[in-house]
Amino acid sequence: MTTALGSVAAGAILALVAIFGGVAAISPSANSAAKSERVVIYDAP
Amino acid sequence: MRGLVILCSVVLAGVILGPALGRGVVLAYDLAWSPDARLTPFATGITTPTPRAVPSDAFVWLLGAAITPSLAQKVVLAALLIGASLGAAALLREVRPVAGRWGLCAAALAAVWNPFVSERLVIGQWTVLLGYAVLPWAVRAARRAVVGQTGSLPVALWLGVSGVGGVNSVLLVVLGVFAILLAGARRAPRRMIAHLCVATGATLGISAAWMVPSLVAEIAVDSRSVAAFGPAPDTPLGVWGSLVSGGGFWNVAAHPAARDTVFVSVTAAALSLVAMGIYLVEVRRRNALELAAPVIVGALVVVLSALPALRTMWEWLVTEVPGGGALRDSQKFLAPWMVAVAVGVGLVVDSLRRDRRPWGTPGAVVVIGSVVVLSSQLVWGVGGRLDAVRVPADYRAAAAALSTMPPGEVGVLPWSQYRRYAWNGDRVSLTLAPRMIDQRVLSDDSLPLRSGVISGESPRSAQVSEDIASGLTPVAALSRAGVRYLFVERGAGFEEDGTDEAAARAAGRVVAETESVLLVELPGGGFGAVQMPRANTVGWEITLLTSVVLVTLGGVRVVRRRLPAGLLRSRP
Repeated sequence: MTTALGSVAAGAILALVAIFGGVAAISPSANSAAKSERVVIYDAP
Repeated sequence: MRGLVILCSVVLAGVILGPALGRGVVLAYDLAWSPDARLTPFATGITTPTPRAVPSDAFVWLLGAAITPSLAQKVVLAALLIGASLGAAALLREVRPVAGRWGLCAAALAAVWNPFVSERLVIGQWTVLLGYAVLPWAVRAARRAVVGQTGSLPVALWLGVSGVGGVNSVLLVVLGVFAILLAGARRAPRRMIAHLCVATGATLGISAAWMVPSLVAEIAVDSRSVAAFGPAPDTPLGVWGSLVSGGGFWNVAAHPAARDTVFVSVTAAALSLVAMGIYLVEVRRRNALELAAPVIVGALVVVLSALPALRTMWEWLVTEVPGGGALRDSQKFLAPWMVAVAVGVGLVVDSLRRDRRPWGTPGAVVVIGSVVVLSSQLVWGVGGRLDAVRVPADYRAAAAALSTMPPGEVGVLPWSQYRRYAWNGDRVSLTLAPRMIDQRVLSDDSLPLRSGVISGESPRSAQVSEDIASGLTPVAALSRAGVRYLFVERGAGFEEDGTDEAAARAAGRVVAETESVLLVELPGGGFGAVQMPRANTVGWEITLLTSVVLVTLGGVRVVRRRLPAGLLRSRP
C-alpha cells in the first residue's frame, strides 16, 4: 500500500514537472530569428 | 503485455508529433515534403551531381500517390517513432526475455524521448531516424542469425527497409549488422561468412540507386564541412559530456534549451552512463556480447571525428576516400549507443520493479519520470517546432502548371536553398521547388552557416553564385546559365525590395503572378527534356530489382509463418 502511494505521488510530481517543462518549451516561437535577411542561415540558434 | 507496449509507443508518437499530425505537411529544415504527389527529376536524383534524396523521395512519392502526401508524411513520422520504441522493447526482450511491462514500456519511452531523436526531428532528418528505428530490429535479427536461431533473410529484409532512407539510414543499420556478424564470427566462422555475403549483397543492391551515380560523379567534399558538421556541445559539459546523453548534434538550431542547465545535462549524462553500464553487464551475463559490438563501433566513429589529435586523419577520410562525405555528420553514429541506453533504461526499471524492497517501484517511477523531464521539449511537436501547414493553393497551382509546360530548366529565386515561408510560421526549411516542379531545377545548393558558406556539389549552381558575387543580378546570372523559366518565391523570408521581381519581369514573359510566386519564361532558354544518365539508370535498375526480390522473399516468409496457424484455424 505504502509503495503504491509512493509511486502515485512521485509519478504525479514528475508528471507536473514534465507538463510545466513542456509548456515552457512550447512558449518561445520556433526559429524566431529575424524574419528578413539576405540569406536564411541554416544553423542560426 | 505486447498490447500495452504498442499502446505506449503509439501514445508517445502522438505526444511527440502533436500538431505535426494536423492537416497539411510539416516543413522543417531538411524535411521538405511536397503536398502533391509528383515524381520530379530531383526525386529520382538525376538533376544533381550526386543523388540527394534517393530513394527516399521516390518512396515518399509512391506512398503519397497511394494515400495522399499529407497522410504519407504522418504515417512515416509516426512509424519511425513507433518502430524505434517497439524495436527497443523487442531488443530488451532479446537481452532479458523475462522483462516485464514496466521495463518494456520504459525502454520504449527512452528510445524516442531523448536528445538524439529530438535534435534529428527538429532538423527534419527523417532518414536518419529511419536508420535509428530499424537499428534495434536489425541488430536483433543479426544476433539471432549469429546464434543460428534464424537465417540471413531477416537481416537482409531489415537492411532493405533501411534502404528506403538512402545513405544515412543504410549506414547506421549496416554498421550495427556488420559489427554483430563480425563479432559473431568466433562462434561459427562459415555461417558468418554466408550471412556477411547476403548482408553485403542486400546492402549494395538496395543502395545502388544512390551509390552508383555518386561513385561515378567523384564529387569533391568541401574541407570546411568537416569541422562544421563535427559534433558540437549542446550542454555545459562540452562535446564529450553532450555526446554521452545523445546530444552533440552539430547544428545549434536543433539544441534543446533545457540542456543548457548543469542539472539537466549532468543528470542526463549520469542516467545514460548507468543505463549503458547495466546494458553491457546484462549482455555479458547472457553471453550475448555481440550486442555490444554496434555500440563500440558507433562510439569509435564518433570519437575519431571528435578527437582533436586525429583531426587531420578524419579530414583525409572524409574528403579523400570515396563516399567519405557521408561520415561528416558523425554524431548520427551515436544511434547504436542510444538504442543500448534505451534498453539499459528498460533493464534498470525492470530490475527496480523486481526488487521487493520498498524503494523498488518508486525508484522505477523516478527513473521513468527523469527520462520524461530531461527531454520535456519533445512534448507536442517538439515544442511547436513541428507543425503541419497548408502550402498555399497558388504556389501549388504554379508548380503544377510549370510541370506541364514545355521542358526547360527552372531557375529558383531567391538564390538560396533555404526559406522562411511566412505561411510556415517563418520556420527554416528547404525550398519546395525541386520537389514540386516536374522539370530540371537549378537552385543554390550551398549551405549558409554562421561560420561561412559550405560549397554545394553542382558546378552550374556554383557558377551562378560566382556570377552573382562578381556583380551580376541573380536574374542575369540564371539567364546566362541558360535556364528557360524563373520561379521567384515570394514571402520566403528574404528582404523583398522587388529588385529580383522587376528584373525577372523585364527579362521575359510573365506566365503567372500570384501572392506566393512569380513565374517568368525567358527567351532562348536551353536544356530540353531531362535524360536519365546511364549510371542512374543502372543504379535504379539494381535497386528496384533488389527491392522486388526482398519484398517477394519477405512476403513468402510471412505467408509461411502464418499458413500453418491459418490452416489450423480454418474449418473444413
